[in-house]
Amino acid sequence: MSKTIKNLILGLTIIIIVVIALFSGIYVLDDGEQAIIERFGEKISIEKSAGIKFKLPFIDKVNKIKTDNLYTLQYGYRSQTSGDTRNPAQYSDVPTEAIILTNGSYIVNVEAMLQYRIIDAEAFYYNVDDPQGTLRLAFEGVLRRNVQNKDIDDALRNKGAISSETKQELQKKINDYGLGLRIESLEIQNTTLPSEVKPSYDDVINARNEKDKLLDDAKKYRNEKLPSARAEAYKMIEDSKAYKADKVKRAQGDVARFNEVYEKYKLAKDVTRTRLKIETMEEILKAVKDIHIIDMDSEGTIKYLPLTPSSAKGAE
Amino acid sequence: MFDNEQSIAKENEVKKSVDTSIDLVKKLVKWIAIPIVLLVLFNMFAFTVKEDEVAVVRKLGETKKVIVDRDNEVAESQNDYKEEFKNVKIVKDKGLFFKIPFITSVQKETSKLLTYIAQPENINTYDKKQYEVSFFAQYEITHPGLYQVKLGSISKANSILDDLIYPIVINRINQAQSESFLTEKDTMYLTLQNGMEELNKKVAQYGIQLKDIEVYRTILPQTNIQSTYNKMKAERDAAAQEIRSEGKEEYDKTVAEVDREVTETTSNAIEESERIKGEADAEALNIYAYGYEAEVKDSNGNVTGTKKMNGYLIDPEFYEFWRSLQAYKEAIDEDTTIYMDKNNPFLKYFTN
Repeated sequence: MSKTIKNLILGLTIIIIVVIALFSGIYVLDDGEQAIIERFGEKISIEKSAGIKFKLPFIDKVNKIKTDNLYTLQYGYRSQTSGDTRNPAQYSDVPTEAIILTNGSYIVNVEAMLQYRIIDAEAFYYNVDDPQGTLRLAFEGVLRRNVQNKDIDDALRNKGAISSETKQELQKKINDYGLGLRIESLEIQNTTLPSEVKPSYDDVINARNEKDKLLDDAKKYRNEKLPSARAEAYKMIEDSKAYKADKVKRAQGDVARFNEVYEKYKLAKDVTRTRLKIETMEEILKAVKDIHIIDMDSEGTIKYLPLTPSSAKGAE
Repeated sequence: MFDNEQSIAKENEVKKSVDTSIDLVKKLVKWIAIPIVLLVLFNMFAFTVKEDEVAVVRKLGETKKVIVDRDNEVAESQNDYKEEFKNVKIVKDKGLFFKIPFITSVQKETSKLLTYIAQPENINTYDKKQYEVSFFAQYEITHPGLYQVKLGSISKANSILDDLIYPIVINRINQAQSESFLTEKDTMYLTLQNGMEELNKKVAQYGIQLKDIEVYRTILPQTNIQSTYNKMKAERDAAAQEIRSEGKEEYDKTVAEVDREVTETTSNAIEESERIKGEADAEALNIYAYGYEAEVKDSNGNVTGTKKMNGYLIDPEFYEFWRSLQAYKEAIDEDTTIYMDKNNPFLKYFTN
């Protein structure tokens, strides 16, 4: 082999080794990543900003952790398929998780979820074995005890309050563990009654509605009957007052007329009497259609004289 | 002769190229072999302990050093649990360490927080309520030397924890009222933490320490779940029943009240109106009999005085006469047929 070829091969090998070394000393950190640099197992530094970074080739080891990713932990249910524009996401229940006790040992079904991020890469990397599993256990423990100390009606209604209590306590607990995670959100999505008992709970609401309606009806009854009765009563009294006024007026009128006639009578009694009689007869006979004059003195059949045309037809 | 020379020359050439090739290979091997040799030497004379590891360093089987976390505070006291360990050095550092090949052996464990999960267990509270309780504990290996001697593996550690934790947790739940156990989270937390301190004294000799004990799931035993559903249903049904009968009671009460008030109002009105009518009749009779004082008005309608109108008592006979004439006028109308006697005084001037 010629000397040049020998040198070439040697040179190439050296170059390859150098290049490998160089590559081993450079790495790239993306946005949302942190890198933990270890030398002989010992943590030397943590790189938090993005860009091209340098380290000792071969000797230093780079461990990258994604700190921007939002991870989700589901409780009481699991997604089977994620939704797309045509179909909604499918879920399956996890009953052993979902059944939670409330105060008094009643049972509700709870579905919750939390979202978290790695904020302390070093802690996350070194401190806890099985971070997700540990988080899940802690989550369940804290969630349950914040539902258990509520009355069942409270638990069904106050999802928001329970969620924020749980979030606070859980964050403290995982901080104590040194998980290096931050819970970005924790929400109870659903608290429902077991399907077996739900109809009875719904019936209570129905009963309340029915009661309200009856009370309403009672009010309506009162609002109809009372004013109506009062109005009638008022009318009755007013009518009787009118009756009174009328009667008195009439009496007064009658008496006044009597007095008028009496004044005249006092002045000439007989004349007045006769006059009155004749006036009366006149008025009567004017009005009456059927007048007959009877001769009571003659014997035999009664003769009478019709004075008006109608009675003339029937005259004998 | 020429052939011989040629072949010898060729031979020499081949020999030369083989030599140089061997040379090359030697050089290459040097460049590759040296790092490898260095690596092997390195591994023989040094070892690393990562941040999430702890290690036990033994010389010829005897524990000499334990390498633990920098913030470990209990390794020293745990060391006292083994007489043979009294000279063991506790190093709180990580990274590169040196050892003597073949004589020194290093055995590593994890320093991460480990989870122990207990099997669910039916436990009774003080007031005889039964729950299926699942709990977990978090622990770490704080003295790997003791750990390796006494336990040696996670499964053995779990087994020891089974034996030790259960009684303490069960005992504490047995002493709590069911309401307290379910609802007083602070109290339960404290009593478990208290139990944990007690446990840590017991597990110290195994080179581990507990960092947390928690009940993570409390449910009713399967057999009680259905009866709980029944209870819930029955309670709600009773509540619904009560609400409905309350409603009806209210309604009936209000209706009765209203009816009573209506009757009262009506009968009061009747009474009043009858009274007024009675007054009216009496007053009218009075006026007829005794008369009344009539107002006298002038042409402008102003009242100037009163005039006495007399009642019939002033002349009862004439009143009767006059009143009868009114009655005849009223009673006789156009449909009445009148028969007059020819001797009637009214006809006095008619017939003669």
